[in-house]
Amino acid sequence: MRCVHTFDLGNSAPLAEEAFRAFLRETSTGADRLLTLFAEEPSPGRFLLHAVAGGAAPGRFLYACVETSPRSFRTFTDVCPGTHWFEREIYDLFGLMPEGHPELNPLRFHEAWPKKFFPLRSTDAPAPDPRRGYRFLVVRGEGIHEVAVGPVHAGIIEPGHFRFSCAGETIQNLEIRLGYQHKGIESLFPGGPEMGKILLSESISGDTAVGHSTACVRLLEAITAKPADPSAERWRAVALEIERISNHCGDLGGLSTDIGYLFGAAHFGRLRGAALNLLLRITGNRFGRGLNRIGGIGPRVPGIAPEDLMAELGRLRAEMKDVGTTLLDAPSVGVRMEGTGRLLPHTAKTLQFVGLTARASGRDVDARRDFPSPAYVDSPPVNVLLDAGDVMARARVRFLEMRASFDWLSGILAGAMPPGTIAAEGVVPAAGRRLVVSVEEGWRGEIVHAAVVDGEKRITRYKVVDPSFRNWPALSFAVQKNVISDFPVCNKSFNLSYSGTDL
Amino acid sequence: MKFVAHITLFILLGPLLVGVVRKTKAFLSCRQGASVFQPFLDLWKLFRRGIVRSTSASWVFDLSAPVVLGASLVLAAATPLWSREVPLPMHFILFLYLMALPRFFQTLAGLDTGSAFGGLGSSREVAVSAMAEPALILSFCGLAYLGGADTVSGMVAVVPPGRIPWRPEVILLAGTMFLLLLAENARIPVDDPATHLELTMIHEAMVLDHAGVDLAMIQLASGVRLVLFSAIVSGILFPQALSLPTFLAIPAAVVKVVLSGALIGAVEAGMARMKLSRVASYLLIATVLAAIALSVRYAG
Repeated sequence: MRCVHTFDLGNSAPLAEEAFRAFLRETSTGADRLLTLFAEEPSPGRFLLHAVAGGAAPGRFLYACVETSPRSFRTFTDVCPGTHWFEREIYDLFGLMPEGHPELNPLRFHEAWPKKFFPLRSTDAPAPDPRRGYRFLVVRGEGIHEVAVGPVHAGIIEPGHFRFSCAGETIQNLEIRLGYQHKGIESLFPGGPEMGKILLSESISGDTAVGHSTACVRLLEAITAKPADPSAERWRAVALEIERISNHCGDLGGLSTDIGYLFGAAHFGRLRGAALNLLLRITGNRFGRGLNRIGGIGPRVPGIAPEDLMAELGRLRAEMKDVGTTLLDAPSVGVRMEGTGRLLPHTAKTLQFVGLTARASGRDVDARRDFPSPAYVDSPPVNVLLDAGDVMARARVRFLEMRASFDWLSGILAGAMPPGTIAAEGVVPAAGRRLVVSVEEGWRGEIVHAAVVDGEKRITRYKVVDPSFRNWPALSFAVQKNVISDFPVCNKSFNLSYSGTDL
Repeated sequence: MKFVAHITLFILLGPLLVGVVRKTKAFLSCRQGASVFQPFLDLWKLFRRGIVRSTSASWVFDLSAPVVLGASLVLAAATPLWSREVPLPMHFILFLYLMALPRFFQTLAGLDTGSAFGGLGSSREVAVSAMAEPALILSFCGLAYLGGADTVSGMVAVVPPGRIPWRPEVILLAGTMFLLLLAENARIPVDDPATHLELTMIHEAMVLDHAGVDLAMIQLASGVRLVLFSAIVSGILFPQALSLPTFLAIPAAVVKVVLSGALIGAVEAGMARMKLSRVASYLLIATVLAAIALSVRYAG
């Protein structure tokens, strides 16, 4: 299967540090991109860094690993800036200090946590230095003032702290501090590959339940060697596309709210509900929970006949097109969105942003094409690529992706089963340490799940990468030199998950 | 007696006008919306609540809400709503500066609590009102020239003779006053009264720290100001309604207020809010319109 890959850790010895560095440099400059970078402690006091890359060709996965000292390693941000947040995460979880890191602040643990608390580091390993405190970047100069927003916001939204340094209305620097939703979800995964892990994955980020659970279930299927049949894969992809449509509708509605455009807010809010109700008909839950089981889909999935679903989608599509065209063509909307919150293609490429954020800034990455699951192998949805990088581009990408999803859905629902077959390479042989990686394009971008599996098919380390984790720094770049009153609309145009980042 | 009736009508029409605007917006976005009388219930709720105030606030903060409401009611007493006879005829220059008084206290109160949002809102509010001032003064000068009087009530309620129902300068001045109505009352496209996002707010950010009775007074004053501007715009366009006998004039005033609420609601539903940096151009347009009206009047 091209969306799941298994690496035999027994055969691949750790690389020398320079070779690992070259591997990461290659992900920054070459055609393959970094998918995940995480630490593991296979035995007390021994630390490995695993990196997975790929995507230059459909189903291409590359792997490298390096052993580090139990205290620190030299930062890789100089050769691969995209590892920036990964290294902060490794520092937080394992106490391995990335030396020379440009902005080493705790990512998850604020002052209320004990300074010597490194949750994934075993107690037998040598004690590391206490965690250093958080230091905000201080901007100085005539008329510079700071505005602090959050972590508690004026609305029922997730917690996060934003520290703006402004000269008048203009934002000079935005520092984003997260971690308020840390729940230790990665440490709940180790153990046997059973059904409970799917339920866990559904709550990584509530609005991406289908995306995360699909990535997780394929990984579990690869471990247990129980692949799903093509019909189940088809319904997974259908649910994933409807999840994409519902969230894109919700975001376009949210963007309308933030610029005070009532028409878009009202109608896209309604259409989001209609799309969620379709997920309810299919899976029995508005957010698509309960869709997946190891080796297939839930017993009551799908709760709707393909013909009925097609009719409903047809209606939804017509309305979505009307409302979306009205919104994106309104002059007052264009004035607000065009040129606002511009994320330059160079930044998107250098920091390896993913998903629709990247595609609105000219970075051509889409896991449905690069790591296709069986339903996408032959005809992934039409690729949408814009390069303006502003709020308008991200709104347009959402609109065009919804159209592409509707097209793809009508194709797959009208046609017979997708002819995609399950390749045996996803199946883990019984013995030895393995690394299993599963990639799926959620509505925000690519979701990467990776698991280190021991000889008894038990998960010993589980790593989740939500696209939000990759894209949060993009917001800081996009709002620079914008006026602070445009921050909410910039923020909404990314609409990143806090829960998926804080893990 | 007449004074009491005049002020009472303003106080009652304020929340109603806000309710009509909200209902129109709801209707135009295919929603049910709350009752048009909901703002009355909100005010009733707020008046019964206690006040939570910042520990760093001073007497300026405590004084701001009563001053805002008081000044707005004095202005209302000078504005013709259903008759050209007002309880308190006022020179238009005094009128304009009394309009600045509540804003002065409100911006001070916004700064007084020391919150970042209050300061942000106050600085924006002052910027917007400074840019609106030329348009306000020019259009009031135009009205005074047109009506041949220097009191607000005298100059609004004049039908200039002419073959066509509305002379061009009348339309221009009504248009200017409507643009100013939106800007001065924190409506879309200048401000968004419905937003919950502190960073984008102008007026709302400034009053974020007010609660309970203080907030009720400020909201009541906003309603009164909105009615006041609506009365001026409709007075310019339909001065005849101000000469009707009382039993007809009061219903006519209510109808005018409801209609202007529907118009404001339609504008708000139809467009997005402007970028903050574009507000200057918007107010420049209002200024230019007022200048054109003045020169048309001068030439004709």
